[in-house]
Amino acid sequence: MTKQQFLNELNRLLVQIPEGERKDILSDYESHIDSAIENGKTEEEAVADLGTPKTIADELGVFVPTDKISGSKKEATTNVGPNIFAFLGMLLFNLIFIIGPVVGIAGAFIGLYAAAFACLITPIGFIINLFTHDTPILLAFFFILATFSFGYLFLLLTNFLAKWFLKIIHWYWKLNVKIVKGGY
Amino acid sequence: MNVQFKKGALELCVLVFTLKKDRYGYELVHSISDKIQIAEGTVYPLLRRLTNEGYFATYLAESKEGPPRKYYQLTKAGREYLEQLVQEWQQFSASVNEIIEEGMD
Repeated sequence: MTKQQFLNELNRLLVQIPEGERKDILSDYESHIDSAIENGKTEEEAVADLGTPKTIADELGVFVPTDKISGSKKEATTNVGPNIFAFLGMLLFNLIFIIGPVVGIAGAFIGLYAAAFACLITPIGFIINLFTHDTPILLAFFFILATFSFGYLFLLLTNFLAKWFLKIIHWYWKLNVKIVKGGY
Repeated sequence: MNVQFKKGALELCVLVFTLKKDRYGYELVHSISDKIQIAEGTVYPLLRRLTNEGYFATYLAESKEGPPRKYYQLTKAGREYLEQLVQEWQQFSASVNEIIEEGMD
């Protein structure tokens, strides 16, 4: 890298630093390179000894988005491939700790739905009962109303919980994918 | 070498180098990189931080070879800070040496 390339690159990485301060920082490096050359180094050597502009930006506490780093495409392609170790690790972790509880909770939801459904169809039994037995009509009416309303509320509640459950599963899935892809 | 460790030592070194005499950037960086393997560029952010914290004052002075140079001068606060760091370092390295000697017997 030449001195000018180095300074341009550094300038680009430090855009978020106010111009005055940025110029000051760049001039430090410019005079450093000049002095190094006066002391017998080549321009290439003088620049190489400084380290990469990215290292310097990091050291200055500047957050540098990946796409701003020149040559980051190469890094990106090597990093983006799924991490096989992360994948195996997550697989093992999920098999041991996650699958059991998730299946258990899913089973509980099936039970809850079945219960709600049972409450909803109970009135049918009462109606048949009305014809076959001598049940007081008012009592039967209240029973029908009570079981049906209860069943309906139960269904709503279960639905609500199930939605949250699915959301959490979805979030957890995305987290897994991120980890395996090396986002963390 | 551990990065944080190196950073702490680096701070100590730049302060020591300016104790007897004001130094300009290249001189300071070069005297360190002569002895410790570092990316020279990382010393300037450190100098900047120490200046912002009031341990260094800077001024420009003419040079024979070219444009004026920025000199770093240790302030009173910097001197006190340096003394504290040196004391900490000596205690620390004495303890480490002791541990090494006991362990290597």
